[in-house]
Amino acid sequence: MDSKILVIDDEDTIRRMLRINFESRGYKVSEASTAREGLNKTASFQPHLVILDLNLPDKNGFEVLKTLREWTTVPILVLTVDDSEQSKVTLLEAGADDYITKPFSIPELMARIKVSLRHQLNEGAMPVFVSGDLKIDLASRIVTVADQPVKLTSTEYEFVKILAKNAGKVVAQEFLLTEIWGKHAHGNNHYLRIYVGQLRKKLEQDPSSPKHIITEPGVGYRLL
Amino acid sequence: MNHNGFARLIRYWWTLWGVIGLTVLSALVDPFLGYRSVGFIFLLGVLAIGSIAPLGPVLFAAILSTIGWNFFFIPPRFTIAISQPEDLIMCLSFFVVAVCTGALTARSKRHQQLAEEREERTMFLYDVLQDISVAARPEEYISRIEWRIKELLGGKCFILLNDGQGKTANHDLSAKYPNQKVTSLDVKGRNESVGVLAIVTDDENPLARPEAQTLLESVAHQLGLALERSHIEQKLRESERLQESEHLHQTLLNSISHELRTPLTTIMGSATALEDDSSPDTREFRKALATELSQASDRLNRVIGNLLDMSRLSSGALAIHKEWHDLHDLVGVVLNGLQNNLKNHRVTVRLADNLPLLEIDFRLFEHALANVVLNAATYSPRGTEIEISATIEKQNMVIGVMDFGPGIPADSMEKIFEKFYRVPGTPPGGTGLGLSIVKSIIEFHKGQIAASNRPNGGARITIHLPLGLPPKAPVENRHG
Repeated sequence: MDSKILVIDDEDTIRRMLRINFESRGYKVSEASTAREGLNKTASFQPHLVILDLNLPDKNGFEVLKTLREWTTVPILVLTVDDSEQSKVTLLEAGADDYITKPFSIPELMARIKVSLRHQLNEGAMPVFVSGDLKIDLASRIVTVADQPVKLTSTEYEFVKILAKNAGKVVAQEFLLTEIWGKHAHGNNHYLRIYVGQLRKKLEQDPSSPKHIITEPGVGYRLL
Repeated sequence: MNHNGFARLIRYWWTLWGVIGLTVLSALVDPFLGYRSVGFIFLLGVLAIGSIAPLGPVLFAAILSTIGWNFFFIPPRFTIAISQPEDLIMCLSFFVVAVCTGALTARSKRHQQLAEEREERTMFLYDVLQDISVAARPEEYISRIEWRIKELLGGKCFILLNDGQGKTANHDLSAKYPNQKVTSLDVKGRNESVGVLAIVTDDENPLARPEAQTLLESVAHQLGLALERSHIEQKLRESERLQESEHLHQTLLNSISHELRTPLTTIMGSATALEDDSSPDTREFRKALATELSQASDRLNRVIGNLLDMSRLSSGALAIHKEWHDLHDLVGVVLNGLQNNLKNHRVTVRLADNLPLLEIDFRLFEHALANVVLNAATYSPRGTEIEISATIEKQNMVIGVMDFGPGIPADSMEKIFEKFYRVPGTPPGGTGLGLSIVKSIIEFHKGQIAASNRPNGGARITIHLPLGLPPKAPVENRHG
């Protein structure tokens, strides 16, 4: 089955560029240049994924995101030029699946799209995460690097588990904190720094140049 | 009758009673000492009065004492007449001595009083000048001086500046305090009035005393000069800022033509080549052009980022958001972002074990470190090494970025962190903004940045950052 992607962006060139890339990779594409058109097409085209630009002529993309989230769980990938951390956190909180900052590279975008589609199609049904020499088996709770088992503390394992369940997607700091330490941990972002540091020492070949646990500055972490 | 006149009369009244007291005392000791010694008691009394009362009452006391001594004690008693010629001479000399010593003590007392007042005034002025020199902004010393004058004179004190409303301010105060007296002094600079010093009191004019008047005039004068000075300084700063922003604009225009067009030329060239049917249709060709395209866009994006940052930094629109971060993490993000730019160099990372967390704004610091590393890559030959190190020295994290390039010319060492400065003879390209942005960011973090040359060649940029007190992670039980 071909996946359907709806692109909501008022810029002609970006819609065209995306369409060329998506269609050449076998996706079905529909375009919308305004918020109103985007909302209508989400209902009529029934996309498997929505690419939403925040800067729309008739309505703030953020409003569109919230309106969409009132009735659909379709993955929404937001295109943003705003580089600020706060706006990205707000996007994730409002229900965006992921975001990508303009300008972006196509391989990066396609990777994000694949991750979102995969999570949409079989959520939770991924017992083993494999990437390079790193293997995380969620069913048997075993983490190996180059086939050597790695000893993790329970908190470290909890951390990796959450990242692995959301493999490829950015996981917000706040989410990690409340999932692992509970609501009272709110704002204690340094817990994350300390644990990410420990995990990288155990899981990465070069902790200063991580290949698996990627920091999204100010937003969260992503497992690749 | 006014207050002062009444107070003056009271003094004479007390002097009268003082002399009566002296007379009674003399009457008591007269039988034992004789009337001549009694004269000395009167003399001592006049001296005592002279030490506490002003000249008028002292003279009054001297006259009264002479009369009293003569009338009550010098024979024949209870008459003004004096029978013995030596008593007459004594009485006359008593009068002269009493008047002179009384006047002298009164005068020295007055001098002392004046000196004290002068000292008080000097101290007050000194404090005011101190306030002015210590304060960072005029608002600070204005409120300090208002407080001082209020403490000195009572009532309320307002210093109102002329920024268009200064002139009407006095009327406003009269309207605001209708039942009180508003006294105002012009605060003048060298040439023109800069404001008004107004005092609101309940009853009398606080400047009625000439000392208060002169004192406040001196304060107003100093204040006027200081305000004028800060006004001029402000104007100067504004014009400097304006000049700088003109310079920025000029440089932006210049760099737009170069910095933006260079990558654009590459993009347009590669893209049109790909579009062109006569271009060779090989995979290598396409791949080579595509690499050029992506690198040029990367460069374009970086230039735009730097320009945006610069304008945000210089307009103060950049909010700093500090959190505790791991330097490993920061270095990882920086190197990841610079992958394309570091392809031709070997990067070595040497971070000391167990570095504590750093309280930094991650985004800003990432940007700063990235700029330094990018600089090292740009100004050192292909194939050479770039080393990033971090150690702890005396409560500071010391981060170093070293390259094996030609180093920095000695006379440029100080200037490379200045806006728009570019080391002469370096290849074209670059706005001269990168390191000045880095410096602003490091200073935002209360850190220091310096450049030096390594003994074996190559440049070293060193960042010192105070450590602070890093928080800890929660303790966890070891099972699982």
